[in-house]
Amino acid sequence: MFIHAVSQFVAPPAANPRTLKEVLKGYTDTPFRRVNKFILLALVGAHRCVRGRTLNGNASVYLTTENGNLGDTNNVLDQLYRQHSLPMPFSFINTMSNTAPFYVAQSLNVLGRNLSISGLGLSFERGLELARLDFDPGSVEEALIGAVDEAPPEGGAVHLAVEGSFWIHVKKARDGALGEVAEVRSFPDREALAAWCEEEPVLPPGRGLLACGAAVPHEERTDWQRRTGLAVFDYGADYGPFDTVTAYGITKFLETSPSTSLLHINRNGQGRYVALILHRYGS
Amino acid sequence: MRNRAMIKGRAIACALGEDLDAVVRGAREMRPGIARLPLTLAGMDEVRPYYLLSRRGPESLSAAPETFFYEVLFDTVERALADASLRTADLRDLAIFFGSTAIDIPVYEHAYGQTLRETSRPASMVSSGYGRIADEVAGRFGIRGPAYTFTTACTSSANALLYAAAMIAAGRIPRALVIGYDLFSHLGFYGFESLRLIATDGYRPFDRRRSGIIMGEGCGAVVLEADDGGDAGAVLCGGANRVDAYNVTTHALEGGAIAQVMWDALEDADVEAGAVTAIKAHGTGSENNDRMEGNGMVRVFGDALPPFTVLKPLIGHTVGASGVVELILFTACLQRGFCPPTLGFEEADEALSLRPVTEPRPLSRGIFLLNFFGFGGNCTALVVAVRG
Repeated sequence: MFIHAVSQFVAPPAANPRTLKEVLKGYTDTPFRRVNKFILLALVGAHRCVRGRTLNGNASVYLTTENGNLGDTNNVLDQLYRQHSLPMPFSFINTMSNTAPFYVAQSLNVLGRNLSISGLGLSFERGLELARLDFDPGSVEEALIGAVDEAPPEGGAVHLAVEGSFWIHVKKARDGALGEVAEVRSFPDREALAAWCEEEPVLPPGRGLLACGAAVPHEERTDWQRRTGLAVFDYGADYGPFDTVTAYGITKFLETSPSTSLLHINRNGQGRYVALILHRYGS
Repeated sequence: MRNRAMIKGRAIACALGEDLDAVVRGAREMRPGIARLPLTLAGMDEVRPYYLLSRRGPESLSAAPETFFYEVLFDTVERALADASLRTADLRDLAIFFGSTAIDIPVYEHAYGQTLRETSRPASMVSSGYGRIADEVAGRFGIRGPAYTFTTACTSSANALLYAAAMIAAGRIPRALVIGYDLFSHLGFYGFESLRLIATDGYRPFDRRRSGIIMGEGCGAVVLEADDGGDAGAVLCGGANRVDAYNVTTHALEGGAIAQVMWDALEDADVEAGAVTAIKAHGTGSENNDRMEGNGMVRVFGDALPPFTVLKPLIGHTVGASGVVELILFTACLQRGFCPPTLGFEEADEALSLRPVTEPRPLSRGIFLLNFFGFGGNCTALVVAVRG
């Protein structure tokens, strides 16, 4: 699965979706009505990745998200419980997170698979796994894979400094690619991942970088560095914690690193792991 | 025909009951249990029909929804795992594929309402993470395989089935637990009412007088493994997913994308259209859905449309759970010797000229097409072989 384009959109939580609509106008003339912040975040990231290119009509869209729509869900609950009125129809429809990949597909005229996927703490990795499952037998030959999460509404228990939308454009064809998703592998626990690392060097020492997801503790990162002998690619401190931080790190590597490889290790709260290997080709 | 994954174990909770024999008996005898729920939260002095879980007590919609939510889920999963006779070591490798429309809304909307009673300005209540429910299942049963959550509206658990079977066939996992789960939520109930989609006078998919959907609760769990090549059981042969970009709330009436996903599914399963024994239609009972699905079926099968049926009048539209719940109900009925009927259908719609199965029809084996469609233009079709 070869990577042909990458996009990043990370910003302080938009108080008004109009801000995002203005950003989106820089990438497409298509007018979008009755869309909310979550959908706009997805559209900004996807269109920024595509940048006006025409995709194959059978291309697929895999949108990964930790929490899906938050703002409109909160609005609908407010309409129901506080205002005691029926929800606004499009507010209700837009509580469903798959409206976001729908609008991405509609605006780019891509009619292949269209999925909204999650995996607690590992959503982006799960999306990559499922996309590879479709790519390997040739069921899908071109796709957009994105990670989108809006910051929780104000007044909630959690406050995040930023929210984001990060996308990669992948094809089965290598010509013109800037990189490759070479491996996506799940492990039941730390021991199984360590055994895999020791079977054979995942990447030759000194010939790549190591990055760890937000849930990997500091002392464990040191251990993975020792085991792999790889230099560290650290992206976690850039913005602090936010839900799409893994996709931020991956796209940052692809946008900014010289020709090299990346081993990305992440875990969730239950101690299940996913390892990614990405190659960044020279320009 | 490709045989990707067989159903090794299954369990269901729906309006017809939880014991599979009782559920099938309810389907054969066509006796659904429909509650009528008030719309008081929105200040309306009206009621709407709803297929609640058979285990619901009179107070259960308002009392401790989180406890009820996980009781139903864990109990259904436990029964499916027992039905599959999995050993503890097998559980460790199990991968989880979870599909739902509402996810944990039934839990946190209750918390929202409760907080509102205690303070004039309630804290924002948000999902605890779409992937959390699958992780709760993993934690409860000692499952260490990967967990994938699908939120594609009414196709959610159908897509979970599609990917679980594909992953088994590719040799990436030995077995999968696939769950479809949607409980009553105020957000969903009042949301569908806001769209004027709820039928008030009976559930009649494909009937001339159809007037909309009736929602239902459902939890279904299946354990899938690689096909053992035996001469019994139900096997997922293939399927497909694609998007109809016509509109976020409805599909194009001519049924082009609907037809294409059925063709894609048949091709994926390596099955000719003429080999299909019967179809389980999605059949929401809305004016547009039945018309576009009817048009799509005619595009694929022409004058040779196989018998088709709709299960929703028996158990309600279980939205994101319908993929797994309807798969279990449909295959269980076939394995007991009949194709379940489309309850409520009486008069054909002249614009469609289609007549579903209306009485239990003797049928125990064959190749079946199962359709699922949802908001966001999502289209999924599955091909299932039942070997008696």
